[in-house]
Amino acid sequence: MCDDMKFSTEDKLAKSFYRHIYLWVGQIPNMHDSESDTIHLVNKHEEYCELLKKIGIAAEAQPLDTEEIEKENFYSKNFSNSPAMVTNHGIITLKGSNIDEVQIIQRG
Amino acid sequence: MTQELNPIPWGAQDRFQAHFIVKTTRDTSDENILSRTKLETKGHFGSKRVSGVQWIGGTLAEALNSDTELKNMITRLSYDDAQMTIEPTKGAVRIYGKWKDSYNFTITKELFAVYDRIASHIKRELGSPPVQS
Repeated sequence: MCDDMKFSTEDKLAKSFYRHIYLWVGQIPNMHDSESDTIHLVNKHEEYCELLKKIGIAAEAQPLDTEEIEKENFYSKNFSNSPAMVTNHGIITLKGSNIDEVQIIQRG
Repeated sequence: MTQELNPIPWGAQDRFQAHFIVKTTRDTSDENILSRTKLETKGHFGSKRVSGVQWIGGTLAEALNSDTELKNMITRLSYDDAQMTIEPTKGAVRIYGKWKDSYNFTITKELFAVYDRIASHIKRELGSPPVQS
């Protein structure tokens, strides 16, 4: 038998070690917990709408980019610390209140 | 050393702001509508409380200063919630507070009642009848 066909003792040990690992990995119990894998994503303005409803305000979250007010500037630029870059997260229309709409914005 | 049970969120976080909008068809003069609260406080850091409030601005600020009930309602709010700005933009007048992280981005009945009362003053300033709530 030539030398390169011989397996050293270390090789045999390594092979048996990895064989055991392979068998062990197949026997790991299910790691998933009882929570569902599916997550219902809620927009920020829908989340805020639910908060308004909780305090008894008749509120309805509108689809994004459907109101004219979302297309205008959010600040009048009278204050120097008004942020230059903001992200619109949607409009909530209110009923029975002096406030007509609520707009949720995020900095950056 | 015991760990803090209710740690305050800190560091780089998403900041949100809710703009409470009163729509208007009229062109509003910025100087008349633009207003901000100036607070008198007692205490420091976490125990800081609002003891008095003054509106700084134009004719709307004068109307808000004359509303004693509104001032009492604002003094009952937390220091963060009591900081408000009223800013006219195209087609609307916006009332907003501070930027808040997602943990503190909520609305309470008391805070909404303050915004609603301010909105009624804005409507009177613009010549529209306010809604009785």
